[in-house]
Amino acid sequence: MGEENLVVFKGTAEGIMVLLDENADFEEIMDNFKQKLEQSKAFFKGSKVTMRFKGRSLNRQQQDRLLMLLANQNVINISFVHAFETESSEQEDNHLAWVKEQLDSQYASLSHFHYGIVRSGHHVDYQGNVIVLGDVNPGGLVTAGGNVIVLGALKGKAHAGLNLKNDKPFIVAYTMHPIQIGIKNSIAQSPNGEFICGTTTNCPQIAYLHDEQIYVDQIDFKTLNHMLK
Amino acid sequence: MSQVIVITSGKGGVGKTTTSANVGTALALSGRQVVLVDADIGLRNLDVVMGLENRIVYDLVDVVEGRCRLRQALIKDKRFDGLFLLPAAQTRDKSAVSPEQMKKLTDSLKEEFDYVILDCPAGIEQGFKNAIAGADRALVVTTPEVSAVRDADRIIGLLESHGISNTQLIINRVRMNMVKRGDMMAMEDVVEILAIDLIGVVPDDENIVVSTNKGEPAAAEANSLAGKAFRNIAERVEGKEIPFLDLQADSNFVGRLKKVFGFGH
Repeated sequence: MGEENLVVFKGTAEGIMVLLDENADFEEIMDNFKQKLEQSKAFFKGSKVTMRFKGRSLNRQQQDRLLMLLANQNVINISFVHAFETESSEQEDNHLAWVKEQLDSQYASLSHFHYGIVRSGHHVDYQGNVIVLGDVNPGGLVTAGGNVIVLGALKGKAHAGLNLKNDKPFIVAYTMHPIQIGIKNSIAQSPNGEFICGTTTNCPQIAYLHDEQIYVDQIDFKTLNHMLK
Repeated sequence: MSQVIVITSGKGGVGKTTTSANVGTALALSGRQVVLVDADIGLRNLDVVMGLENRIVYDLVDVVEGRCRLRQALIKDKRFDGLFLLPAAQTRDKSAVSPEQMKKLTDSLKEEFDYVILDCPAGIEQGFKNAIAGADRALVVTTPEVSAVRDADRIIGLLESHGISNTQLIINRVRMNMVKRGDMMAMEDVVEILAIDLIGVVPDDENIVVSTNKGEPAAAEANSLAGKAFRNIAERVEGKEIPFLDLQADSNFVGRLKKVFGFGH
């Protein structure tokens, strides 16, 4: 059965790496691990090591059982067990590369700038804030974890605050004629197809959430007070 | 410097084929070498509108698949010097050609003609992708209707994402009396939404239906208002600055009198 290879110990610069077989039954791995520990009693004697598990993804229960096994043995003096990996290291590297790339790019802040018109069928999405330097046309969609600011006319759809942890998300547009707007879990549409926003149309409007209700108003002291209340 | 111009709209029935036929004819009338390419494989119309249906022997798919030489498939319009048609196949569908093949085809047509005008099918699928593959610029046709404008907006976005930024707008079937009553979108509203340059406004003209059915492009008729609009578009395609037609011109005598005396708008 080649049971010997289900668990492999590897010495690395930072301690012991334990490679677990990816396909074998977990019970067999546990047995094999116990055996391997007994066998290497002499080798580990008296040393203090850190341990990292690799090679297969483990669910919560399996992780607990491994830790229990380590706690109840008297072979190795383990000073530290590295966090279990849920992703393969390749993915981790990719992730790190992505983070680096993001930090180097122009979107290093939590804002994404869209230059030009968001046309029908176009979806601009970002986890942070989205600033559109142009119109959002009917059929266009802007979604943001944070706020949406349209330096033009909002005639399509916009949804702000998709990251629910975001406090007081808002949508600002120079002309507010959206087909639909959403903030957090609330969605609003105008009864007659267009929002009628006050008497002046040349000043920017803000849409915000208050008591689960979406309000659209021009930006002034009163509105901001109401929004932040 | 020859150009490949795709005439597209997204929505069907707004007048892509009519525009292709008329702009092509008008360019030929002003002495250019023009080829009209019907990219609407399986639903070809351009040959009918041009009245050349009975002369088709080979088509675009035959050329692409190597069953004939390009020259053999080109139909010369005997009425207009320098005007040719490359018809689409009727028995096949859009998957019969690939964007790469279309690009190759338009590139070889470019060597012989001043203008290659592609009549794009409706939609944004394979047929659209084929038609825009080799295009240098695009004329987007729309009518002053919300649905047509919405589709035009989508098309402009797609053209941009395919690297075609030289895009101009034709507003077709404008009915000035309806615009005046506020029952139809005004040209300004359409241009404001689409935010691209306007290259022509074509009035709604019953004569277009007649000339289309007869297979005679309206651009060749001297006293057709729509024909005049298409001739103007052709001149603007060539880079000339031509003032827009005064579509508000009242055709009755009183209206003209009012205008003369400054009572018009």
